[in-house]
Amino acid sequence: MNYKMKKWSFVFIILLMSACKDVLVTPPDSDLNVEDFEAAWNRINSVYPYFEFKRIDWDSIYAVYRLRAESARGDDFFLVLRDLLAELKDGHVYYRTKGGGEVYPYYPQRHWKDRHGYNPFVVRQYFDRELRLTESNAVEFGILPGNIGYAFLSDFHKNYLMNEFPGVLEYLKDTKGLILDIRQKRGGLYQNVEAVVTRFLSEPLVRNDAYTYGEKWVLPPFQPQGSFQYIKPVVVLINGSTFSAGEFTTEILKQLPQVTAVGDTTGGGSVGGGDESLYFLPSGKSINIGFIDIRRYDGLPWEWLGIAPDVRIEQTEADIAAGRDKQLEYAIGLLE
Amino acid sequence: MNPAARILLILLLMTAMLLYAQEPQGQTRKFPAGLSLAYGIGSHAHTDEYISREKYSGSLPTVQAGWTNRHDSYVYHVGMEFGSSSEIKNANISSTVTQFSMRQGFLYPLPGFSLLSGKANAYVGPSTGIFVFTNKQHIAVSGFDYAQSIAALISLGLDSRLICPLSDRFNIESSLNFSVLSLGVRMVDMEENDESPVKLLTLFSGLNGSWDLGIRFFLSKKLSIKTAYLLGATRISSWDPLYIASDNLILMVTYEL
Repeated sequence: MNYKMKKWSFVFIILLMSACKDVLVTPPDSDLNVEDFEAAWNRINSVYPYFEFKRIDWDSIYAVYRLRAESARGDDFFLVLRDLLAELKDGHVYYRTKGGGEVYPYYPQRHWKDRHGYNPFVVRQYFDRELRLTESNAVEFGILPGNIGYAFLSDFHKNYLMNEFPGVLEYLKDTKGLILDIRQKRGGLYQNVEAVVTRFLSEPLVRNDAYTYGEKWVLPPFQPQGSFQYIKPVVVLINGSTFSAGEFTTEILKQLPQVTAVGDTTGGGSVGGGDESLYFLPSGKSINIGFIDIRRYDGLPWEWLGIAPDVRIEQTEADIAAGRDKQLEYAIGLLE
Repeated sequence: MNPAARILLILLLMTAMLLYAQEPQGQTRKFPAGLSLAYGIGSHAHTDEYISREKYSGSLPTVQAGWTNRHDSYVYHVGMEFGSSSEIKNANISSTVTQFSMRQGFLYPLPGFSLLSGKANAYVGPSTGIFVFTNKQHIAVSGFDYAQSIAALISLGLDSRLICPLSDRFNIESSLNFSVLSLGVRMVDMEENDESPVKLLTLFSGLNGSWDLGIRFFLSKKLSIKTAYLLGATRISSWDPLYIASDNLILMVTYEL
């Protein structure tokens, strides 16, 4: 082979190889955008409990988004799905990309207002010793000067509080009052809510109403649980970032005579459903659409409305930046 | 014996055989050594099923730096590559892809042979490498939420080079390297499943490799330039599948210190 032929053979090979990536990485055989849209719209239409409460005309939404789904190419559909779910203005609603990654199209406005209104480092300044952590890190707890107990409940998922809250309360048993801090709390399990609230009951408490597909739950009252009942004064700290299971806990505890809710109105998310809320679309994406309508004791959902504190103490980012937690200070003042 | 241990044993045996296959000292003298800097104009494609089944593609420029040192009986090389682009697209959705890799290895000469009417030299040896891939989809979301994925491989692999002089000033050069056994790390949704984010991967479940073919021109005894086509490929299938491939045109300058 002469030099010229070698050179041109080489160029030819290079050109041949220049599209290898498209051989190795191929697009899916077909997109399922319209099928995904139909499945999502129908699922929401059949299970979502708050169309009437939120005055959403879901049928009119179909026409708009069906067209968008038809014209979406490839992953353009993520935008369609995001906007469709955002119409519900529901902080529980999200879609998951195929393997994970929850994308929430909506957060309550009160969350945005209060998201910097709590800072664990500022809270620590009120203690003269290091706070303790449970094994799962779901609860941070300690005793404030003046023998006031403090527990920050960070996570209502899995069985964290069912397993760990009894030990926390045991440690704080001899305090003269207790602060339960559930600011910055998103969702979690009903069983964890129950594991917390039943430790503060001195007598059975009627449950707040809940409905699945319009049918009212019939459940026996909450019963006092555990080796002892904490019936000394309790302050529950809440703010706009308190959400879902955190609001559920607050609403129940507010019914008890020894409990005062301090802080600001919670975020407002009362659609439940747990793991069953997750619904898989034909392409493998999934959407989380709750189907249980949980109500406050006054009969209204806390969706959008939130749970109001007994004593409103507004706290801003500037307060936190200045090293002050006015809500915690007020709670300490109440219990001293 | 479990499959991973079996592959490790095979790799060790292969490395040992290569050591025995060495020619007498001095066979590495034709290997272009020194400090190399390269720029790659790359066309990247991936499907990252942690996020989507769809294929994303676009231009991903890369920069490379490397150091090669000849010894009497082997060549040591170490190099790194970095690339990032926020214009990797599927339809109107884009994502930011960042890739980083670092690899070092030893190359041992095999007996010379004839190729293209000339004498070619081939080198083979073991290598170790790190590969990191991050992919963040651009969808406006609130606060802390995400549609992003991360994958990484810490690998033991094989490396090979072919150097075929065309004339005193020109070489045709090719290299092939691939991982054989890797410790893989992948982003998983810890709240939704119990799948481990770290796994031991074999060639079949976690492959990272590249192949290039190029021509080197010696401007002087110490300075050479090389242009090459580089195919990069990664396939991780132990979790939600991740397939990455890229076609690159590489421009490299090598200076022998």
